[in-house]
Amino acid sequence: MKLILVILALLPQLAYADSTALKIETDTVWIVVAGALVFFMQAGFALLESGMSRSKNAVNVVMKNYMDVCIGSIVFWFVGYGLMFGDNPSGWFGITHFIPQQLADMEYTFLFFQTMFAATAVTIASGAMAERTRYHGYLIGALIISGIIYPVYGSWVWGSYYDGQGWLAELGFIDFAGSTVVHSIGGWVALAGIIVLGPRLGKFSESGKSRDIPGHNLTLVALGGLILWLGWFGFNGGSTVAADASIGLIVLNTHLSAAAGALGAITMLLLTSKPILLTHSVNGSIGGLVGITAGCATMDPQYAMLTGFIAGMVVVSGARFLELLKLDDVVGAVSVHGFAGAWGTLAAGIFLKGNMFSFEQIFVQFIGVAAGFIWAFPVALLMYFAIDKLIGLRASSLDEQRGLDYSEHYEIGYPEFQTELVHKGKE
Amino acid sequence: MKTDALTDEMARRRKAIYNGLCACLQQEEAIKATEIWMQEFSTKPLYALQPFLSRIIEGLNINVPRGTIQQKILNSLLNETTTQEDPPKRTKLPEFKKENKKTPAEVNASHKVFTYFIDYFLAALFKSDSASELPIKIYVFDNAHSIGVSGQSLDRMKQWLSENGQVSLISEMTKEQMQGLFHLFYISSCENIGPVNTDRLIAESVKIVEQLPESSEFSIKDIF
Repeated sequence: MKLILVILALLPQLAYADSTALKIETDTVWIVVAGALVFFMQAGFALLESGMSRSKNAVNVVMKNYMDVCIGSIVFWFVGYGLMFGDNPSGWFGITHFIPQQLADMEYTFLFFQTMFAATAVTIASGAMAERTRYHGYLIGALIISGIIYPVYGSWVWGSYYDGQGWLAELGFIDFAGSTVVHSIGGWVALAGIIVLGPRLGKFSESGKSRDIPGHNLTLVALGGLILWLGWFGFNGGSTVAADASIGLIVLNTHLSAAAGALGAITMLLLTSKPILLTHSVNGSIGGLVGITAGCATMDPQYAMLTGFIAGMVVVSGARFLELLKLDDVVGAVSVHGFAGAWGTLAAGIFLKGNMFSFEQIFVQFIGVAAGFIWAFPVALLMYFAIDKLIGLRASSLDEQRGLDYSEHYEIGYPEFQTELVHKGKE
Repeated sequence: MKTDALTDEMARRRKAIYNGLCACLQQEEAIKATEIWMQEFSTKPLYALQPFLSRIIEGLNINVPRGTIQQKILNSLLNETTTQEDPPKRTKLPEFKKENKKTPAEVNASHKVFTYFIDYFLAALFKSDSASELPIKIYVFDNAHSIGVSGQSLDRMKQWLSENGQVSLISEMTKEQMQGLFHLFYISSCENIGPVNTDRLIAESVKIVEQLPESSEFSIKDIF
């Protein structure tokens, strides 16, 4: 009888223990799956950027994307994670958890997920700088982005995993999954990169008119865009860092915003009497995805759509604006990630559920966006300038003529039909 | 722009030389003398002016004392300002004295294939955009010294450029020099008609040239 009473008394606790363990296990499975989806975004970036480049540079673009994951992941494990998520007493950067080992199970899961984010931030610049960047110089840049530029800003917003809090987080800055932390930062780095590099040979005429240099495979562009779209469900949905009921709204908002982004881009093209291009439509969707990333958990679906629609318009206008400045962004990364990310972060304040159009919140959002630019752009500008002087960032015009596949990697992506144009490789 | 073979430093020096020359010569003489400096002396030590002075005084029949010209150029080089003027843009290529010697026959397959390729490429290029002919030729003309051809061969190449292919391209060019010459055309063509059109014209030219019997001995792709 006594035994039965003891069992009955312990049952609720056993049940609780079981449910806690189950919750951790479920969370882990979801975060790992979401992390894998974010990893898959690298394939999307590779296809999209490669498709938008000329065939003589296809291998080079893919190689840069591939190595972004490799370098970004290792450097983030060495220093990035500690800087971003370590104890953060000052609010400016973390000071513990470098080369993290012997963590709790859930911390490993979190580290894996965040590593994928870091790799994403790094790879944004590659497309903008395509077709005229030397491989080694680019990789040094990737190392510094994943080791310093991205995690320092990240610590200002998300740096409260262990102890302390980032200064922007303390202000109440909202950036749920990284419109600014990941995308705008990547976009500003890309902007610095294309300024230091200069445009591709012949991109602008003497009178300043921009010439179209079409990519070699628009099917890859569309496939890359769709893969990014799929990966974004993990990017935003996984940012709950838990398998909870809020994921439904988050992924729905993500999806609607992407769809509206393409419509926004097309509308902008129609309004300005420009042809409806596939590349702009795909970029519009990605702009919508970038835009909703900050507010996907704190916005109603109709506002998610509006955010995406405007983001799509921003993407098209931003690309035109850069061309007027004679800046050559091969894939439109600055516009898609930088400008749309900035808009999305503001939108997260404007359309904040329960506190819409709050001037105070919008102002905090503006501070966060401005801080991102003030930190990332000049540091990246200095970094690329130093790389250009010390190692060499801009490929020579002869290498540009021959294509970076040969000059940087000694191989080409399309040996069957490229034989008419390419030389026989370096001797 | 970084792709310009003419660096900022070179442009700055050219302005200083031109402004120094303008201080003691007629503008037409100063322009011609600056062109000579660009083509033959721009890569030489900046302050070693004697060979340059000898060349322009004899070549252009200048009567101004050598010391005066030297003094003016040195003053200009030592007191460079941002307000110094560039020589006016040329509207035609300089004329060259025609050689009396008969053009040497093409001696090998590589030369024949290359000449045919360049001729076809230029004809197609100028047909697609006739306005680009002069700027492209001027660019190649101004930078021909950078491909390692000098002396009489350089003059002959320039003569070939200025006479629309009526004179045969020199036959002594090495493969590296052919690569260099084609690259100059490529850069200038990209800047003038865009990279997409340039690549299209190259592809067309390659197809034509590959039908030559000599193409079995020398592949034009070797110079890309």
